[in-house]
Amino acid sequence: MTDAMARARTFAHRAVVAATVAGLLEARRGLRVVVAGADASADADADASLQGAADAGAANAGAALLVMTDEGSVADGGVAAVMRRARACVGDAGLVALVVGSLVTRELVATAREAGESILATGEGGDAYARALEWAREHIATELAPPVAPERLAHIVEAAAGEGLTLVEAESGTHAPALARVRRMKSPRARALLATIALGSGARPMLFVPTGRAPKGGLARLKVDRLADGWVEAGRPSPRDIGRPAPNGDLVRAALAVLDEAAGARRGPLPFKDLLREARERQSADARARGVRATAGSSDTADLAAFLHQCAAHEAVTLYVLEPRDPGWTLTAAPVGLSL
Amino acid sequence: MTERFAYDAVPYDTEANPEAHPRSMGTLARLFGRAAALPSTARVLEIGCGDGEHLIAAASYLPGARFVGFDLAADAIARGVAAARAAGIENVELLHRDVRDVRASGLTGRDGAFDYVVAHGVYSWVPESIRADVLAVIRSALAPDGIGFLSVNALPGWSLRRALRILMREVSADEGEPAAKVAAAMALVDDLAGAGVAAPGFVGVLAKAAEEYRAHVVKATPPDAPFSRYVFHDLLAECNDPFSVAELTARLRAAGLGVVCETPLSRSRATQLVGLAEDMARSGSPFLQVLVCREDGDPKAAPEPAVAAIRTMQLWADLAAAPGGGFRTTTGALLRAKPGSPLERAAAAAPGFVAVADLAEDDAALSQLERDLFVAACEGVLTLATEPAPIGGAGAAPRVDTYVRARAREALERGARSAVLTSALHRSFRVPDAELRVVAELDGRATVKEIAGRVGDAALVERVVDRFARYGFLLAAREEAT
Repeated sequence: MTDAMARARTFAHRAVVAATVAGLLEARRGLRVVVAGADASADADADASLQGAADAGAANAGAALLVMTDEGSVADGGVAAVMRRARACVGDAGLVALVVGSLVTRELVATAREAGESILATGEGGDAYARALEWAREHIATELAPPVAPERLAHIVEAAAGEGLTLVEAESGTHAPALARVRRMKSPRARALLATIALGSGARPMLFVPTGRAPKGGLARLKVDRLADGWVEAGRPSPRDIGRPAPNGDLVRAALAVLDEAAGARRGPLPFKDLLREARERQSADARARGVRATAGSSDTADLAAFLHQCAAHEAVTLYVLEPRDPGWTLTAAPVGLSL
Repeated sequence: MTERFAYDAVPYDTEANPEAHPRSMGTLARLFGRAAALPSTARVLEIGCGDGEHLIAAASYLPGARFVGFDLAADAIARGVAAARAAGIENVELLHRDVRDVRASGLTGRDGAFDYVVAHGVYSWVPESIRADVLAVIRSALAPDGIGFLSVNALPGWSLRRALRILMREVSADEGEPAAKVAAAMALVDDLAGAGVAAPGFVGVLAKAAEEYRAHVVKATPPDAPFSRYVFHDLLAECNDPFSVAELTARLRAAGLGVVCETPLSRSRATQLVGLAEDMARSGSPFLQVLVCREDGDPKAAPEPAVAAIRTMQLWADLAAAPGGGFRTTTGALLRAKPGSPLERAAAAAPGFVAVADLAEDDAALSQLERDLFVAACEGVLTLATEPAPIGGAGAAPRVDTYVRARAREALERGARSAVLTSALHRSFRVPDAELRVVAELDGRATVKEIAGRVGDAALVERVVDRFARYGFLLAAREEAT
């Protein structure tokens, strides 16, 4: 698989997870996913059905999910036409995911990559920069989607709305509790910007759904329990960096230990249920060693899912709701007319 | 109706920039092998001078030099012209001009006529389409051996400011009035800081950045300002783009300009550009100031500083004897000195300048002194100059510069709680109104006792005179100066 296709698959998995957790997509085998973007469409691995730009949307009509990035290949004036094709591609039942990264993250990670992992901040530019550089070193291998300038995003959101696609975004506090106090970013676009910038996103899906299916105010209500049927993979940065394993501290700590070991042993993605089982076993063993008794809590699944969702928001774990190695989807490269 | 230029709609609180003063620029240029003009007779141009504060303050101390500034903000230029006229300063000319017009038609035939050209706080803040004009004007206005000054927001350190800027502009976009925009933006900064520096992941990093920016804004905003005009013209500005060292140098080269060095010169910084880029990544400094020269200038800038040039320079050391021995500078640095050492001799000359060559007894000592002074100057502990500033002691009748007195009087008449005053070393200090009453009287005619009688507080007068002497505000007595 080429790098471009691997990247397309990564973005597609993230979009499927985001849409599933937002309650906007039913994750199942046989899902029709179309990946737009010059890299993906040029890839030989993709089951590309290249059509002329004019009928690009129609050629892929019926897709459950169209995954896009903003490669900057279309000027602002052409965005509406692309969104019209995108709308035709997903119809009333599908949705569009625009995967974007934070420009700030891109700059910091590029600095860490160029300077090497050994670079240490002198502190002259402030403690925040020293911490940012440390953070960037941990994210040196992170996947980076093209950033979207706020003005460009405003244009895309407006053009999408004109074609009957509404941006849907959850409250920022659902991704990171510390952001709950930042209440001034009210519109879905502002919330999406806040989440992308404040979480230091490398590649984060913004979801556009047909307006008739969009929740009120574009406010997504997350259903993290849907992650319980999925898979989890830890790597670098470690989910331990996300810290505070509350409210179910012992179980989450045990799960973190299992994930660390799995990452070290290169076990690949773990089924959520296996992770939960192994974490409970470890929790019980730890409790026995302390001479206390541990019992499975009724909220274990929800607590662990909520914690993993926050880790994923920080890109400290990778989540899947389709079998990672064999998602059973039809992944199709989009024609050029569907690229931004 | 056309929209008002942002700097006319909301005035910017400009201050003198010591690194953009011909004394500082010339000194560093000499260190890097350039034959820089002496400040006392220099011809200086500032692009985007605002209300001309930087130029007027310098011009008042250097009556033999000529200063020209231009800006697109008509109101700011008018304020500057009025301020210079009120203080009787005649060697400064402030013009209402667009940099594009200046590039197209020059400054009334003065191409290639300036020893120093300054563009401070301009390049990052103008639209991309105008940036080439700024560099072209620097290039065309500089004399062959002239030195330019350019400041920019710098990557990667400015990245965190970019994060704040994106969110601050988003949250304030719907506000109409500048004050309301700033209030909404700073409320968001408060919220982000409130997320807590201990928050996990990048959220904690951003919270720390918000904390640091908030503290920075407090410093950059006059205490009696109705709102932070700094924020309005900085992170909320329509244009504000950072540059990496590599990109900046490429743009300069395309404009026929080369980098001489960074300013202030930091000892930890490598002086060659590759080193500078690496060091910017380590330091995270969000701002970069460089001295530039014409690529066709002669001689080419030396890649490394030649400390031997220091023996031809003058030294200013704001030293006061510290309890327990040694000397304390106004910046708080404690310096130890043996009896009879060069430092002790420099302290004896304070508050005036002393020739470096007069501080060492033989050539070997002078060579060592050059190295020591280079380090101290890089650390900002001591000040080197190609020629002395007219600084003197208190004497019987202490005197501050005409423009300093005029600023103090103007602030008192306005009922301001404080004013920013600029020393002979071109350093700015915020002075409270009680002290301004003393400063306004320091005209070189009234004695300290007479001033104490007028102000009614002898201790205050003594304190102000002592401090102003140490900070380089008091001028040599009139007969000494002549």
